[in-house]
Amino acid sequence: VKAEHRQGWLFVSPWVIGFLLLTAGPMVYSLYLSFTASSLLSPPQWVGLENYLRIYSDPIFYRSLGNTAYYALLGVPLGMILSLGLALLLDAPVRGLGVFRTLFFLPSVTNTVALSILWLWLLNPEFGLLNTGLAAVGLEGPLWLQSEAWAKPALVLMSLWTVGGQMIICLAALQGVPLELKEAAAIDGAGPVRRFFAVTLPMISPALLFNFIMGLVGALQVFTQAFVMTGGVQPGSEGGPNQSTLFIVLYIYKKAFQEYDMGYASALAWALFVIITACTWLAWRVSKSRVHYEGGGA
Amino acid sequence: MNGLNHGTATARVLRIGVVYAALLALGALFAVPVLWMLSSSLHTLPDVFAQPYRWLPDPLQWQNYVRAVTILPVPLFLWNTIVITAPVMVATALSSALVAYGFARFRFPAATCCSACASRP
Repeated sequence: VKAEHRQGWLFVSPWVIGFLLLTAGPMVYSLYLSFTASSLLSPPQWVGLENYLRIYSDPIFYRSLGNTAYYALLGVPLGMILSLGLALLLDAPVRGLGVFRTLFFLPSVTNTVALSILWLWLLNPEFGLLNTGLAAVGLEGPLWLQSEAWAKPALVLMSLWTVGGQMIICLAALQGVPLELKEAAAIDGAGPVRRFFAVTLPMISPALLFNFIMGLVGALQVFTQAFVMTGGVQPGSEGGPNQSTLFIVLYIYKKAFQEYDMGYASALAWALFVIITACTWLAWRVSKSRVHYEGGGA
Repeated sequence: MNGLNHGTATARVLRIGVVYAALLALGALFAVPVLWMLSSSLHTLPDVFAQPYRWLPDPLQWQNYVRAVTILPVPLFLWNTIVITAPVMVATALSSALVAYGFARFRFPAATCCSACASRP
């Protein structure tokens, strides 16, 4: 038994070493930094809980928390609905499935910075395709990224363009629903709507929960789009207009790498870690009785 | 495989028609930004701002592509990417097999916990 332990650890040692050096080590160090005042220029000074107390009374932190919550609460449900809708369409016996699947999936495998630059053009209030299109049907488009009210919806809109990954997961789940269950329901007199809500939806609920949690964790850490699309014109202005796209990770970035306030940035990062863990745990708990695992597991 | 195969022939054709219409409409929404990017890559800068937008300008600015790879040392950038990516790919493939074998074949304390940690995206 002892030899087996040793051999096992030896086999997994590449991961253990990488994890300790590249993940656990920096995490522990950032936890230490979060209790210090650190500017990279001088050695960290221990300040106890001061950074966390600063977070507690920092209006900009609450602003970024609100922005992030707005983005997640609007983007995650819309993304789930759109990805499920696309998957349902692709689950129908249609020709050209591969073409459509590729089309819907393509944006998801494109680099986020490239996507951001592209959408910066599309969302241009004057020349952008979006507002030109809206003008063509007689609507006056908003100022999008230049407007405090529309900047976050613009980023949500862009995020909907990258639901391809979630769509593939939904599609795989839909194709895994046993045909005999739907047939049995049909024979029992259930119409298409009833079959969807009573058979299909429960059967794919684990995939939906997975999409929800991954989507939520991703949305709470939104950074690249906001950084590229709101700071391009004038470095330092990221998060505008008037902090309406200042998300938590962007705030952490600005504190750490523009103001070199490493201690406070580390404390913010740990606060975000706690928030994400709490949200995931909550989603897990609430969904427990609503998600159906075939075979009665969990 | 789903409820689309039920009902009368007319109803079936109607339903599949609705599915195609929805797929084409959504497909267009997903395709237009990509097509716009392709189209604008053949424009001069003033042409990009032209109102109304012309999807195929005259003449097509193919030299944009020449400029894109010559204005900056793009071959060097590609080489840098390869230098980073190639060793990572090889090392990931090798170490993943090794580590997966370790988690799959050996029972040792903390194995379950570690494999859960290792499999996070």
